[in-house]
Amino acid sequence: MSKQGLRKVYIERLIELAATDDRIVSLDTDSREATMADKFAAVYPDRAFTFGIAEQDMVSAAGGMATMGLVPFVNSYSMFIAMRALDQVRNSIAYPNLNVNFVLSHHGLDAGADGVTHQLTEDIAIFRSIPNLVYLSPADAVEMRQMIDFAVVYDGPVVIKSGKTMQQDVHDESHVWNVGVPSILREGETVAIAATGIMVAEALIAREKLTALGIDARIVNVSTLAGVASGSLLDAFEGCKLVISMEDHSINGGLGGLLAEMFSERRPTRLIRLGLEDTFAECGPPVDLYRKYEMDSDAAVNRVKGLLDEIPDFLSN
Amino acid sequence: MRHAKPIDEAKVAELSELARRVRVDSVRMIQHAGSGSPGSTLSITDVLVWLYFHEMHIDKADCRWNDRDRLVLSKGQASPAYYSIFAKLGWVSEDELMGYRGFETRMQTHPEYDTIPAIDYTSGSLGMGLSAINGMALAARYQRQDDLRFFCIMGDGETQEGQVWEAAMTAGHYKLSNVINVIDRNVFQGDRACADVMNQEPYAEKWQSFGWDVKVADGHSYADLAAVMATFDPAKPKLLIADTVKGKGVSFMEADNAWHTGGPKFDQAHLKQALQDLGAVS
Repeated sequence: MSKQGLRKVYIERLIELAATDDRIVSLDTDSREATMADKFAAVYPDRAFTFGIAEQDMVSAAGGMATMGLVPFVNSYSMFIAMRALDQVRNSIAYPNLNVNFVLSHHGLDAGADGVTHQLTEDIAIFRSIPNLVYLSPADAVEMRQMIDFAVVYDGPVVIKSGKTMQQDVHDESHVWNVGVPSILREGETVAIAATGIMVAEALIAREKLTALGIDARIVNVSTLAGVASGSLLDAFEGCKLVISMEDHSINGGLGGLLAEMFSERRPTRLIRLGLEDTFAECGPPVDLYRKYEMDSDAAVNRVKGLLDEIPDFLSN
Repeated sequence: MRHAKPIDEAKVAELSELARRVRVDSVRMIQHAGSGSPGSTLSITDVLVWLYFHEMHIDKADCRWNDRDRLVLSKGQASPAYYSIFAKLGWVSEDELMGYRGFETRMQTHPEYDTIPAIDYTSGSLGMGLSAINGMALAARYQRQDDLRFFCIMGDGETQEGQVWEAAMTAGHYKLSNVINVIDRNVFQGDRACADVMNQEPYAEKWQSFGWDVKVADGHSYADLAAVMATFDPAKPKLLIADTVKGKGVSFMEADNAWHTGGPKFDQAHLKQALQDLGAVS
C-alpha cells in the first residue's frame, strides 16, 4: 500500500483511454500544469483546448462539444467550476444532461497553502443539489481509475474530485468500485466512521486510536456523493448506534449533511459531524489545518469521548 | 466552409409570407400564455426565418442530420418564433404551439435541448450561447467537419454578460471562421434602452478588436441580410449586427419597450389589433 497523487493517476488513465476512444478531449483554463492536463496535451495536442482564465466560457463550450459527440474532460480547480461557473454547470451541462466530465483539484483544506480562496469547502453541498449530476470522491488510486472509466461511458455529467496531497491506497488492486456503492474497509459493530476522499485514510487512523476506548469502528468509504439512490448507503450502517462523519468540507450540506438527512428520514442514528464548522480557515499545511479546525483523527476520538462522558452507557444499551 | 446563398425576389416573397405566419403564431402563443417576450420575438423573426428557410443547410426530413449547420438561440426568450418555425418545418406539430409556457409541454419558455430534437442547445440563462457555439465549432474542426457553420443569435442587451466577451475572445483566438454571431440590435432591453441601462456601443470596434469581422444589415430585409452575408472575411469569426425594430410587425408594439414582456395588458382587443396588423383577420 503506497501513496499516490490522484491527479497523476487520473491523467495517465485518461491518456490510456483516449488512445482507443477518439471522442475524448481535454479542456483547461491556464491550469494545465496544476491539473496535469499538460500531459494529455503533450500526447494529443489537437485534442487539448485551453480557454484562458475563463471558466464560464470553458464549461459552456464543453457542452457544445458534447452535442457534437465528443466526451470532454474539463480540468480546473474546484472553486472556479463549483462557484464561478455554477450557472453554466447547471444550465449548460446538467439540465441538458450532457456527457461532460469534470476532474477538479484543490478541494477543502487540502488546498492548504493556496489559502481560503482556493479551499472549496462547499462543493458537496452545491453539487448534490443539482439533478442529473453524479459527484464522485475517490479515496485512492484504485477508485480514481475506475471512476474515469465510468465517466467516459456514463451518459451524463460526472464530477470527480482529485486532491492535491498524495492519497494513501486504502483498497487493494482487486477492489471493484461501483457507482453508488460504498466500500466497507473495516468491520465494526455499533460505531462506524463514514469518510470520503482524503479523509478515508484519516478515518483508518482514527479507528486505531478508538481501540483504546474499546471501540472497533466500522470504516465506510462513501465515494459517491450525489446522483444515485442511496439504498446501499443506509445498509452500510446496519446495526450502528453511532456514526462519525469525516470530510474535508463544511459540516453543512456535505457527507455529514447527507447522512443526517438519510438517518432522520429512514433510521434515526446518532451522528457526529466532523468538518469545517461554519467558518473560513486560513493558509497552511493541511495536516496542521485539520488539527486546528478539529477535523482529524484526534478530533474524532475527542468527540466520541465527549459523547461517552455525557452518556456513559450510550454504546452499551 | 459553406458559402452564403444569394437570394431572389421569389424567395424574398416566400420568406416574407412565412415570417408573417410566424409572427401570427407568436402573438397568439404569447397572448394565450398570458406572458412572454413579444417585442424581442418579433424583432428577430425575420433573421430566424431567413436562416432556417434559406441560409442554413438543414434537412427538413431529419432535424438531427449530422451535417446540418447549427443554431443556438442564446436569447432564448424569442422561443415562440423558433417553435413556430419548427412547426412550419414539420419538426413539431402546429397543435403543440399553444402549449407555450404551459404545463407538461415541449414548448418550454426557454428552449430545452433534446426535449424537441431540433433544439441544438439549451438557453435561457443569457450569455452562454456563443460559448456553446464555439465548442461546437472547435469540435467540428477536430472532427474535420469543415463544411459546417455555427450560428448564434443573441440580444443586444445580452452582450452585457461577461461570458459573451470571454467567448468573443475564444472565437477570435481560435479564428473560428465558421462561427456567425448575430446580434439582434433592437436597442432595447428589459428595463429600457440598452444605451441607458449599460451602453455597449460601439459594437463594431469592440468586436473587431477581438478579431472578428463585423458587418451591419437591415434585420428585416432578406435581400440585405443575404447580400451582407456574402461579404464577410472568410478567415475570421463573423459578427452580423442585425438592425431591427422591437415588436416589428405589430403597430402598437413597434419600438415601445412596454411590450418587452406581454403581461395582463395583452388582452383580446390587443390581440385582435395585432392579428389585423399581420393580415390574419380582416
